[in-house]
Amino acid sequence: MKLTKNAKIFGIIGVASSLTFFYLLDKAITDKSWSTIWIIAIIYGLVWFVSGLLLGRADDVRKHRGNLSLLYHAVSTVVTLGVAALAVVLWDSISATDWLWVSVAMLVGFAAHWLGTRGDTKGIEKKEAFK
Amino acid sequence: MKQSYEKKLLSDWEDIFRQGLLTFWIFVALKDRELNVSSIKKAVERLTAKSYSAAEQSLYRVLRKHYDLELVNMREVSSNVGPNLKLYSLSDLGEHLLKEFTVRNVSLFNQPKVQQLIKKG
Repeated sequence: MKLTKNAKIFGIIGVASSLTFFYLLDKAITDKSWSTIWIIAIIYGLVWFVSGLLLGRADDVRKHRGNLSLLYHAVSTVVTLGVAALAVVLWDSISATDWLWVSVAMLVGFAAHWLGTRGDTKGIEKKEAFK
Repeated sequence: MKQSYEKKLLSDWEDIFRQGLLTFWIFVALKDRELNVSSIKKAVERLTAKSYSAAEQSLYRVLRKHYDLELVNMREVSSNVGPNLKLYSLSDLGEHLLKEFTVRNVSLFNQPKVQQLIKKG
């Protein structure tokens, strides 16, 4: 799967925001600051959403033969699971069981996206492309 | 009663038959020339004896998809009135696909039996 320039930037932003998120999450859990967890989780989700939206929209569908939305989904899944695995090693409050549940949830979501779009070309349904 | 029933059947059949052919007529309209959406609409209507009369907005949407799929090229030129004009033309891939589609699907209508039906009605 070849990454576009924007998808690479999306991945880099994802790695930086995930590292920051897990670091702050560990601190918040250690300090038992539960409200902080909500705030950083919302900001973390927004960073993914907004960066994906802006970079994905700016990406040129014409120049990429694959499904861009699936590509961005794959990048976010790989980055999150990779950084989460690192967080399990680096910080005590994040356990391997947590990582496993997150992995299952993310992989199920990715599999559903892949199954739902596997007949499409560049993410465009054939019914939409050839009316 | 009988006639309206026959008309209904014909209309249903045509609805199904026409699905998927708008792309064909757009590509035929664009063959060897560059047109804007309004001219594509008129050319398709002319080619199909007004059987296909798509709204310009629908044409924009489908052409946007054809552009993303690399089937048509698009360039913008300044217009004397209003915003820039988008001119569409078939890409090499679109041209090749049109040829393949025509040979595989449309040339079937050249069979003598079908030609006889067209001539005799």
